[in-house]
Amino acid sequence: MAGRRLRIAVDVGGTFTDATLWDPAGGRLVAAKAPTTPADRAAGVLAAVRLALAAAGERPEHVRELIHGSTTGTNALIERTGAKVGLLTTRGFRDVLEIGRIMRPEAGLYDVTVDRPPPLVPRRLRREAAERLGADGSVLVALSEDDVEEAARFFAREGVEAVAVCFLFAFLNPAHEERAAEILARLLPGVPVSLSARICPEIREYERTSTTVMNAYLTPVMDAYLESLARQVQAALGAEAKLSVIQANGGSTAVAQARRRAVTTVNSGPAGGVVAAAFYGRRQGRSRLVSVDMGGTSFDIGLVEDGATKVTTEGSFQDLPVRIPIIDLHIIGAGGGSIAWQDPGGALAVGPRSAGAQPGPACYGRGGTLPTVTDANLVLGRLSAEYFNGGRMRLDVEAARGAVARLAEAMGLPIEETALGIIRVVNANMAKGIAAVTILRGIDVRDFALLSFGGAGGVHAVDLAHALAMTEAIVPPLPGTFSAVGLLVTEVRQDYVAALGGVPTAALDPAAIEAHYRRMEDEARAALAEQGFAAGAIDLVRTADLKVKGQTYELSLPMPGRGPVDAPAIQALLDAFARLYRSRYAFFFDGEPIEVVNLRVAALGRNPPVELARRAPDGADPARARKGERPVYFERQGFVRSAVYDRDRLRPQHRVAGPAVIEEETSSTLVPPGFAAVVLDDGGLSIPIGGAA
Amino acid sequence: MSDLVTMQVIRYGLEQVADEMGNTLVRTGRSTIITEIKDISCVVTDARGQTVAQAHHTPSLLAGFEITMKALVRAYPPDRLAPGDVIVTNDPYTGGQHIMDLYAIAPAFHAGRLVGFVGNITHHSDLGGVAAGGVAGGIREIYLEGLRLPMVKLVKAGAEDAELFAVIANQIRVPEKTLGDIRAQVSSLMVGCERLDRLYRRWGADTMATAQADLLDYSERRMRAGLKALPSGTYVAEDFIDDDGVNDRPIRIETRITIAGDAVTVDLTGSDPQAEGNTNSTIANTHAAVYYALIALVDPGAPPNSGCYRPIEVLTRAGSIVHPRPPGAVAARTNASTKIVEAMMKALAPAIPGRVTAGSHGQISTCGFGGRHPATGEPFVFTDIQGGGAAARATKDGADGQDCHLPRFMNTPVEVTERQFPVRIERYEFIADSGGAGTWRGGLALRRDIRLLADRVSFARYGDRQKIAPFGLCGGRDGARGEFWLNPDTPGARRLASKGLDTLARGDLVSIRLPGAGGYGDPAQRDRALVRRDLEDEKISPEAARREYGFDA
Repeated sequence: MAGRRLRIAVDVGGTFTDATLWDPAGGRLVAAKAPTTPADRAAGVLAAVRLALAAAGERPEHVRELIHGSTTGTNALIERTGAKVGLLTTRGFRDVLEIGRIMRPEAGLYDVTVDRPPPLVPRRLRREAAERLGADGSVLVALSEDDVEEAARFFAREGVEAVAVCFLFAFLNPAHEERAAEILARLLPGVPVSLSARICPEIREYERTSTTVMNAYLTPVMDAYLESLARQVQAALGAEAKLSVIQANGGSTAVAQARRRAVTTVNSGPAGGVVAAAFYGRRQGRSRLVSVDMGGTSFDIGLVEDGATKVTTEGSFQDLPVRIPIIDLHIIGAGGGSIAWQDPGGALAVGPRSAGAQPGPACYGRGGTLPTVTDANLVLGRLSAEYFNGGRMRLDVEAARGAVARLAEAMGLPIEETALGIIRVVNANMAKGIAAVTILRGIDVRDFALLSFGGAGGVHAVDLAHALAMTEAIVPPLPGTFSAVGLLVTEVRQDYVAALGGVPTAALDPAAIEAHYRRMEDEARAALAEQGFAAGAIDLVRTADLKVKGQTYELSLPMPGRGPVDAPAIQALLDAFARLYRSRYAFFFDGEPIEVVNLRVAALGRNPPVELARRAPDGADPARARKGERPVYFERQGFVRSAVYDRDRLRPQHRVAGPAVIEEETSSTLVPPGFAAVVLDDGGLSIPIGGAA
Repeated sequence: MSDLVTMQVIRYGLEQVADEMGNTLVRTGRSTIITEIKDISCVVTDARGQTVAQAHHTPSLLAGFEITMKALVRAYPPDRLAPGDVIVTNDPYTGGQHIMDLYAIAPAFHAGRLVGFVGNITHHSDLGGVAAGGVAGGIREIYLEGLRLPMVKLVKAGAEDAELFAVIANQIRVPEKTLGDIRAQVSSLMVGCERLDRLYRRWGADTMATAQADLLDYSERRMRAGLKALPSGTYVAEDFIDDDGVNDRPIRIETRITIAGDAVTVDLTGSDPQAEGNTNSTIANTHAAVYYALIALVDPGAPPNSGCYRPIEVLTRAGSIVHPRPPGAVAARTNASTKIVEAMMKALAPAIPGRVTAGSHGQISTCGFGGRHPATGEPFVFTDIQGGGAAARATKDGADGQDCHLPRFMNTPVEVTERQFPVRIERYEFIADSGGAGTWRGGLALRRDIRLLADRVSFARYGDRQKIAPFGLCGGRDGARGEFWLNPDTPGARRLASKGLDTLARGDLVSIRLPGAGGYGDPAQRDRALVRRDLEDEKISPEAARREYGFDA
């Protein structure tokens, strides 16, 4: 339909559903919020969309695409409300899913009460079929079709809603799994079947089974939800409005694809935040960012390198491993609602318990009595009692002081020192979380800027960046709904892998490698064309996973060269591997034999660009944005009179010297003494750290 | 003890250093025992060698580190140490564990001054000895268990000692693997030194020193507070090793625990004399077991460092099963140390019934296979470690198929195993009815059937709890015993000894069946819904449901 141009991102959260509308003609972003409707989440989605359209003065038939991010899959995993799944395995191996890797969880190192999460399929629903492939993928024992049929009839009697099939070495030869799928489809019409060779064609049977089972577990849930959503979207916006779904890898995909690979939709909301960070970094010329989203209960950490999000294939959801490419996200239980307490050794500890939204921090005045991070920030003057959430909610300073005072008495410290202690401990916790996705992976976080958003992100940004000696802290515009920007700017992404199983580089045939890449790329182009992407809007990225012979873990590298794979390209790949290896692990011994394990293609379909509105500069002096001052407590100085600014009135190139607080509707940014915030062209705040460490 | 906040921040930083060392070791190691099983530990110490942080890998390897560090600090004063040095030892009689566990330690410098040490301990798949994998049972002398390295400098200011490397290479079956693994240990230490220096640059030497001293005091305080909350008194219990692989009689371990205010003494002097076979627990290993059990029982949240050990006194008698004299053999030491932990649990059951656990599979069942690949003629060493039943607790069933108290490791995936070694795994599953009945059921054992695809394969192992079952607690029943079978369900089926060394032929099938675990509380009190669930899951048989629980489906 002519005139269709609007794109709307919808992020379905636990409490609110955010809709952010992008109007390319007007160059504007319009945000709206509606309550999430757990019984039928699609209703909340449509309500938010209508509100956004109304706020923008636009009509439903002008919407070209709705991009959807949700926690539906994540919630199904947390609450264990996914499908009743039947699992079919190689005879003798039905317990692989439950045995896992036998290791007790890290938290159970000394604590004998801590257990691994139970499997998604109970033993009763795990059945076996006679069949066996060898370590080279050859058939050692033919598939017993009788066994598959018997399992199918059992699953039918049990009323399973989805089936997962995982045979040993199927990643090298999918024939048995595919034959089993045909039989299952015949005897279990309408029941979705997930095959390990399709969902996760990689070595290590437990991790592959876990991923495949999770896909089966989520398929009926996501399928019903997306089917209903697609129907309601069509009814509301017309048949031509495209519905896309963001995936855990940060890319979006057509709803039909997502329904086939439900596991890829888990944690897609937080993934949107990292995509938004990468986008913002590219705009502002920052190619290396740590993105942190600090809300009430969780702190989501992501990484942007070379301007791109970082994708891992060694992740997990709810402590269950998933071996699909997902944005490398580390989520820790730290937020404004985290509760501070004195541990048995007398030390101050913060979290992991959270006051949540109910009763919330003591200062919310909803009956909370325990001191939280938000209470500590209020006691220290870092948050405003009057202007919290744009002044819609008054914070109770006395309640916050009372809660902190009780802890201070137990600690034998003054109230402010205790409040500061809470902030320092939660900061240290968050810093350790950031280190886990950077330093622990051999990445020097000191070369990175911290991009901090979410309601609580601005108050802690400078302290965190300083503690980790990062280059600068950045608080983007609209920090409260920043994640939704990620949904609008992301590319459509499809990942493909060819498992080689470990070919020595001496035996590599460039032509064979080129053929693998070509096959994956042809498949990718067809899939993206189906989603309406012209050839010119498709990017294909080739990577290869390499390892030293005898070692187990790979490093992933881009395949060098633009043309077909040839001998010089392979040599360049090996050189790059040696360099990366040395930088990560201190030594690389020249002449070590290297093997190629996997070839990968990431196919990206580019969406039309989104621009953030630029504001006109107005000199360097922010005096006109100053709205007052108040005492704020800092580590070295104690209480200091600090200027308070209205972020909406700041203009590009304004320089706000600390001590200062910059307030806006959904967030506050703290600029400590000795630091200064510079306003970027789109209203973002940059606080350089360099040298201050 | 000025600033507990800075202390916490520095603690996370130190743990980060240890974590990163572990990560480097796993990613650059060659043998599956490092890369998959992760039988390693990493440590950061202060300049006196006191552990201030550890990576969360294997608790059993850590307490001995104290003893090794004391010897190292004596042997290598600061003027004999330079950046880039690496000192190694695997001597069980100077703080070591067994020959296969190689300690590698590097001095860490900041601004030209020695500020501490970083160390890692790695279980190697081969360091020589009578059988591939170093896990043969029934060995009588330490000299047969492999190459015993005294404390030596293997890397000097960044340069490998080629002669020492040659000595090691000459003594082992798979030198590329083992030397690669040693180099991975060195890489891990260099990464550790660099990261620790970064931490010192961030905080300065004075703050770091204060914070580390505070951290040790803090852990001590937590342990003392926890001990004080326990009922004072003396608590005694025993547990048994089936046999030592040489003499067919049980070996008794006695733990006499005296809690007095905020301190505790664990007296092991009532335990049996040193064994002729290699089930002796080195002093380092014995201490590790006691420390582990007490941290778990008293305050599992205390940062595990040397401070935790201060309120603990361990009494042993030289020449006993928990404190052997050279040349006693020690490879199967974990048969003893796991029993120390379980006897301590049993002893403290009357005092703190809510915190203790019943008997578990109670061993680190390590099986080593060695031979030559039929296709290439290349030697291979395959070490397989499995989990068994984890013990039932006062409020929960024991976990099915899990590692045991002291170590913390993973299995090796079937697919990784078969791509590297000439074996085929034909079965990997739970054993029904192996968990002891109780209000809370003991965990189920695992069975792993391994078919050999090469000729003349050595099969070395030191299993246990194959004669004396994992004990139930507070009315719970015992768990099932373990078994090793050769070619089960065939005319030539033969039960193999729990500890030993055999040479097997191509086509043979070894069936490794671990023990289960004991139950907790009276089975009659078990929730019927849980009995029904176990029945449906075929984790218990209808007969067992009737017999143990009086439950008729």
